[in-house]
Amino acid sequence: MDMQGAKVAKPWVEKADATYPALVDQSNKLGTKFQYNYVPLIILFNEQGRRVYGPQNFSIGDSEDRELLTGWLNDEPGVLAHRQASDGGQNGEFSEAEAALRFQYANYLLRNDQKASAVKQLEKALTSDPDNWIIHKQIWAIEHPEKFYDGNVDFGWQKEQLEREAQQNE
Amino acid sequence: MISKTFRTLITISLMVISLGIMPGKRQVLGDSMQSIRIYESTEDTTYHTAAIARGNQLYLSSNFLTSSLGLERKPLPNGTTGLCLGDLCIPMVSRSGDDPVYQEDNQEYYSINYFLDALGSRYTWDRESGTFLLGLRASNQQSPEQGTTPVEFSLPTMDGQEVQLSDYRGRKVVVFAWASW
Repeated sequence: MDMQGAKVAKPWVEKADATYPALVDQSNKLGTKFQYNYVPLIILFNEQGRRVYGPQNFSIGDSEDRELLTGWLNDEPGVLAHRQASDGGQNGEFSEAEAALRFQYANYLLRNDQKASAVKQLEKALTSDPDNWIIHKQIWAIEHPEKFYDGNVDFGWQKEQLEREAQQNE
Repeated sequence: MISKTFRTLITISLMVISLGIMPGKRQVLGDSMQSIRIYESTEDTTYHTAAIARGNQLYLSSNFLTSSLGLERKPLPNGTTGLCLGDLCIPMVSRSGDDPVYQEDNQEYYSINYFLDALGSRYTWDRESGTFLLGLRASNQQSPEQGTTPVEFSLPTMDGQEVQLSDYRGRKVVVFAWASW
């Protein structure tokens, strides 16, 4: 999902020693197609390529999430239906056409070394779609790369940043 | 002391600056030719071209539309003409008082948002940077409802190999979306 592309995602994929294909979605193609506005999440497709679940938030550290996934992979009946009923409508929507367009344009600008213009477009995209965490965090990552790409992601800083922004908006 | 003529010029300039191309707004850039940037999201490309805005329509030259965006004016079986992207044609008939065609200096200009509206495509005007953002081949149509028709998408791997969902037909697929942040 990183707008900065494979180079920032690669260390995480290597660390996970992933045996599955890791795909790069620099322009949020799937977020636009499946209308989600946050990560991490999963989407499940059956053998015919039909979407049967998601997008829904997912954490491999969560035992219920793991049970859902293993249950589905092992053809346990009703495992998705039960979860969908309890999850009902929790996934957000990357539905703002303007936000999606501006996000893509910001990506183009960033790749062409126009960082300030890219951030401006992302800020406008966020105004159109204020609950979109993909846009929100992407702005942080561009403006404060040291909090994201110098070793571990600084989640403490993200929490403080949220508090700072809340104070500014009061 | 600012002369009356100069004050008038400033007023006109400010009026032009304050107008924007927005669907539903009657006034836009004004009738004068302006140079704008166009970002087309499905090709992920920018272009610079001359544009005229009249009513709530943005007009681009037929030459530009054909050479850069692949839109062509073609005769339709019912005797009218259409603005076409491949085999998909939108009849060029006046709607809501906005003419889809504008002529100036022996050059034809076609309304781009007329076409995009009919197609259900996305577009927006970024007034600050003078950029018209559009998704010519990306409509507002949403992904198929869960469980109905097979879905298709493709994305590159870390080393640039394109992978399609249909490459995994016959197998269950788990897509886990994440970011480093």
